[in-house]
Amino acid sequence: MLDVHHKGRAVVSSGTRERAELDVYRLHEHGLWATMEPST
Amino acid sequence: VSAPIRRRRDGRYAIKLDPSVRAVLATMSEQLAPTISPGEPMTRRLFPPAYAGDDMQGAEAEYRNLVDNALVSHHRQAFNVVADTAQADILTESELNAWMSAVGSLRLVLGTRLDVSEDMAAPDPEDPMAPEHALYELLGQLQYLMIEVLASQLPDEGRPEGAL
Repeated sequence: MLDVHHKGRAVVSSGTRERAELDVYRLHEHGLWATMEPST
Repeated sequence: VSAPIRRRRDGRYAIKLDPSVRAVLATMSEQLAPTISPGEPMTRRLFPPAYAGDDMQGAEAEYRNLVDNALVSHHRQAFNVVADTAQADILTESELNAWMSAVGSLRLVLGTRLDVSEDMAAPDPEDPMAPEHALYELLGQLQYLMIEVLASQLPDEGRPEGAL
């Protein structure tokens, strides 16, 4: 969690696209700069 | 001096803020509520991208279609709650959550206008923009107070490690 403080970003969730979009949306409700990308 | 925002035994929250702070929150919320839109430069920051990569534009467009209306409603609703309860001495938890969301949004919108960056020094007091920078600081302090009082209700595992 502190990664976001020290490194500027942190992975806070992973899962299906639907799940990730829901989590991202909840962060966007609070104006947080949350993005997702496909895992390789 | 008691805390500006305090949880009461009945689960509601006692709010002690200067009338000038309440007035600013009400005015800003009233002004911003009708203007919120992803296409409006002033409120653009309230609609962060979900997919960052250049090759993800299709997914980003789908996400925007799915959520932008809901984001507009969420932010507008939070601003309306603040406009309606700005003078209240006691807030419900739901109202305080709306305050937290709205104050965070006001700070982002103001930060966009001031083009703030992370390690920016406070401007010279003579700077014509100094009052707005002071307001930006104030919104950050308010946000901190609300997060702190709401986070104290979370179970321990919900609290970020090393939180202040």
